[in-house]
Amino acid sequence: MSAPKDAAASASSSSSAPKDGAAPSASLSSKDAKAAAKAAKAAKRAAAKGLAVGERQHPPKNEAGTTAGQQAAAAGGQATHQGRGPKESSSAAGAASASSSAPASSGAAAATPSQTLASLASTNASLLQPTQTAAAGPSSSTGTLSSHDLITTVHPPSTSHSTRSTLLTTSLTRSLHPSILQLQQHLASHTLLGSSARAIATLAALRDFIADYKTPRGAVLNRDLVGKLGAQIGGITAARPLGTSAGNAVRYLKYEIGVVPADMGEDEAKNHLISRIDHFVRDRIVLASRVISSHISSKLRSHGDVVVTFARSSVVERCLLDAWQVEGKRFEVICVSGETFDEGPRMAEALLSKGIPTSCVPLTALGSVMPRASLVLLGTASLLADGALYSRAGTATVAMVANRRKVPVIVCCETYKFSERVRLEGVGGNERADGHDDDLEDGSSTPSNLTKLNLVYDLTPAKYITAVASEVGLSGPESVAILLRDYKSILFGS
Amino acid sequence: MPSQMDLLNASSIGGGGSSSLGDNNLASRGRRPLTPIIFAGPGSNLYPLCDPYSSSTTDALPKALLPLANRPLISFPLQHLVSAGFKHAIVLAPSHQHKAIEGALKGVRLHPPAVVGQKGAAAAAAAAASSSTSSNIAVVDGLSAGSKHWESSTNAAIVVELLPLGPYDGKDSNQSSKDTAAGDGQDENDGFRRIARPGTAELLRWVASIGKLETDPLVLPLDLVSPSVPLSSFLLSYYSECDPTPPTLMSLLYQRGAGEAVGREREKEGPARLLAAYGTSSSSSSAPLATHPLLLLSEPPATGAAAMPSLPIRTGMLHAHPRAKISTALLDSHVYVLRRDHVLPLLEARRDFTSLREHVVPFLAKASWQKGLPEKAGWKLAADGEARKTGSEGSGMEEDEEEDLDRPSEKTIARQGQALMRLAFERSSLSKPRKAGGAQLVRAVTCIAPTASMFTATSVPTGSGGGGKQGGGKGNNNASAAATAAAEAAAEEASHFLARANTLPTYLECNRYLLRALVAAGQSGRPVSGGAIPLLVGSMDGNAAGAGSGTGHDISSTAQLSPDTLLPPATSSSSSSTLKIGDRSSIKRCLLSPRVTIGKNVRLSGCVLMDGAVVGDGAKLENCIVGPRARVGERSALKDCDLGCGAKVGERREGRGEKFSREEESDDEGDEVAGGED
Repeated sequence: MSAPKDAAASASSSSSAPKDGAAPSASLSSKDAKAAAKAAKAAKRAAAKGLAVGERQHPPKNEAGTTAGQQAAAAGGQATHQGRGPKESSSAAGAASASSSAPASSGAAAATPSQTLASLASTNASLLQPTQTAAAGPSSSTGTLSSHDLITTVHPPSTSHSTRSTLLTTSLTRSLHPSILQLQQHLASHTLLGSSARAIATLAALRDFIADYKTPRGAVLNRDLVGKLGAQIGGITAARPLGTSAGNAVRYLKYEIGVVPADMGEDEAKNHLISRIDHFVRDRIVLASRVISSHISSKLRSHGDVVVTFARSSVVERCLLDAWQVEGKRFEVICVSGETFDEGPRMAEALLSKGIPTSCVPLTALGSVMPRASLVLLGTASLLADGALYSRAGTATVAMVANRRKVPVIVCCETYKFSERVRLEGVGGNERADGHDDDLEDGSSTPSNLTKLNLVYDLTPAKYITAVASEVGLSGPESVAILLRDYKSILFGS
Repeated sequence: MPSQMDLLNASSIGGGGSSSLGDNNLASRGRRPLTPIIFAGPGSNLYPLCDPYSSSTTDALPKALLPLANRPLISFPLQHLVSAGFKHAIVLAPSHQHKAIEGALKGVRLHPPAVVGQKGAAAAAAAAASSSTSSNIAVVDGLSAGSKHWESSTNAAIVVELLPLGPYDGKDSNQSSKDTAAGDGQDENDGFRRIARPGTAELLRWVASIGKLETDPLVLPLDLVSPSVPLSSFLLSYYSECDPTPPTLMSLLYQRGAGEAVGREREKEGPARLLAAYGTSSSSSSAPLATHPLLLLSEPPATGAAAMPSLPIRTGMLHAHPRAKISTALLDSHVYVLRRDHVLPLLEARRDFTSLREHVVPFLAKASWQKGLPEKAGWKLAADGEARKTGSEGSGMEEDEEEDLDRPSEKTIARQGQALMRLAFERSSLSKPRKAGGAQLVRAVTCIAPTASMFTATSVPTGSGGGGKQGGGKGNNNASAAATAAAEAAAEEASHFLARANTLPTYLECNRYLLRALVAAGQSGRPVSGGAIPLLVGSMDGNAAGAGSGTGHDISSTAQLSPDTLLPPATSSSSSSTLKIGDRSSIKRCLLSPRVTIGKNVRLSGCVLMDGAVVGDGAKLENCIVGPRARVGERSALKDCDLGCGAKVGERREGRGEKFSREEESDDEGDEVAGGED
């Protein structure tokens, strides 16, 4: 735990780049101290509860012997930050906001090579031979950690029938709640996609569980429920890692359970928790997306804009629909379709059904449609503390091309998707998305040392992003850390 | 005095502790995902083995205890459930059979499910270590036992809750069986008929009325042998159809296939034909079994001279599903998942629906596309709230907020939970835009099991020919070769076999399939097709290859047993359970139960001999089922014959495609020796 933290600290000091003017560094000392204390508390609590419940804890690998600067510069910076996320953020907040935004330079520089790796992996169901990639990749210069090691941290897909039936059997024997079982299957088979949808569905399933929950005699609700909730959440993560959005939702729910007064009656407490869940969904997800859509509408001209979007984000879709139907803006949409899922055509279908002129192009046609674009709207699974996007594979390519063409890139992201973590690369802890074409696994002609790596997410450095639209306003990507710090009490209930 | 008080307190605390333990279990059990229900049917198509009108377990065999590969039939659906991970099942059987079922299940051990995680692995290892010592099925009486007993027996792989057939079964079972014909008057109080065998739909309503049906029922037949379609893949398809609301009906159809190679005579007794219509596959490839909307299930139009030259079909069906397929090659497996909150109102509204298979399922299939049918039937459907929530999610959430203020009832909470889940699915990046026309509330979905036509063409041996005979005749080398061939055939077949042992031909076919599978497993030493066949307590199944050396059976050294003959497990303790085979007898592809006595110079091929059957000297039996305690006289020659419980066939009797039962022996079978052999 301490080694990666040191690495991050020295990385930020060596790069020494709090060069974003937006950081209100020393002005709010008392507030900072308070925020830092809060953050530290939250971090402790999160660490104790195992915040990163959805993602595997990756033991830091052999970084002790090498210099930290090299470590951070390496594309495969091994600090895959699951483990140290909370601590890192607390140090960030404590150090007057500078250190967390530092990776904006070093992180972006480091992310670029690995970014090519990720997008290479995402553009098609690529065949990557791990050792070869390691040899060809830029990270091999340090020699401490190969891409192969990173690839081993990628979550395997659970879409195959045998995996899912084992999952079902296991869950049945463990007596998980029916709603959890249903959610598990939809998550595992990738029929429920999208970070908002997954967060809402996770909350809905846990809500059903709470509604059916009865406190055993002699137990206290808020202690007993957290433990039992953990088993159910374990069932969900067995199907697919929670991800930032659902992870934050679950974290919020656990906090709410924790602060239920002990003298509250059981029914009352359950109703209270259920209403808290409903409030979270309403305020943080549904209403937030409306606020975001009003921000976006204000950025659209009344006629003639060409909006490019990638894959399908529920927030972006809502923004476009609101702008068209409520605000009466007239524009054209180009949906860029990724290779991972069938999301682009579905987006086009949804928009076309509302009468919005929409075309759908593959990612490879990006270069030919980008000259026409006047705005790029992106959704994301998670907005990292350095302003980078952790989003559907292919987003990075779109953002880079748009940036090159000087087309503004606005990211629509509710604050509950803000993450306190920083990623230096997009491979570690990613997920694989190959399930439908099993020909590779079955085909006897495939060499045995060849594995398919079709990643679900990639990492978009903050420098390609013009603005982030969240329910607290339109801001630069580097302000995520500040938003996290300032709004922490509002956002996460602590 | 204080000490006494302390004692009292302690005891009361202890009592409280134990009861709170029960509550603990109840709470930790939570809501079950599905409630598995197995209906022990009468076995109407299994005459003379089963007699639906018999009220004792000695005159006729209860269908639940019909031996299939020497295991009681009921252990097969239980194994399906356990393999899928279920730990609880409700079995509805006539109350006079309960003792017998409980006793029979003591002799069966089920394979634990394959689960991931250390806990499961450890449990599986422990189960393997203690395997074949005792049964892992716990049987409780559903009416008397409280729910807290269920989880107390943690060693059990499954807890079977035995329920009688309706409210009047246990009370006056003696008279109700007699006045079956007169007893269908409606009871005014609860609407359950006072008859011996209420239909499955009535029973489902009764189970719900006594509070045993907390969640959606998963109805299983007693007799499904489906190694190719484990229950879990059916459930995967079910869950892929829940998006997010479950379908009203999920069923499983399979291709007719088994039971066709058992001879012309027997084929006529096979399962009745069924006309099924289904739409084009609605699901993505995420489901292991393709799912289709189920449109029609009915009897096929009559064939022959009086047949209508056309098949009337409503235009409404074709309007809703323009590309429907209509088939008579499919059969209903009687595996259903019904949506509780839809089906229970229907059962209340239509009390004339007595059978799930004959009434409810075809009705649901029709109601899924025929507009106005639910209203016509007086079926008040609880709307999913889809009308309330259209388009804008925000307004829906605000409504929920209003309801939060005045303490919501449990129902509103559940409805809001559904609304929340629906919102999630609307926001999914794979969701499709909602269609303009409101969808039907009733959704009937069916899975179609993969085709079975491939193996029936190739590997089913016909009649007296086939590899088994050669193997049995020519010594060990050929025997092992035949066994490996059988193993390959079984492995090939295992990928497609699916049949219900609910008619005599399919029963025989299931026996044959299981025989081959068991023999193949015995050769290769691995469990049969993922543990689809329950184990017998006591020992491994013996087959003739391994059981030659004295295992307690009294087998003559000059008798010839082909390696694909299944012998009962030899128990050295009781001499009564031994198997006797006389000199120079030749036995091929047979299933022999304990206490079977086979005389000298007997030739058996493809037969099933049940507990206590006696075959006299010099008899020749081919493709016969010999029921418990039935006797075949000396030098009889029977082909495709079935002997019921305790039936007797006289000496030198020749028969082909006949049925013998205890009552018949003096009536129309004139040349039989009437019961003087005892």
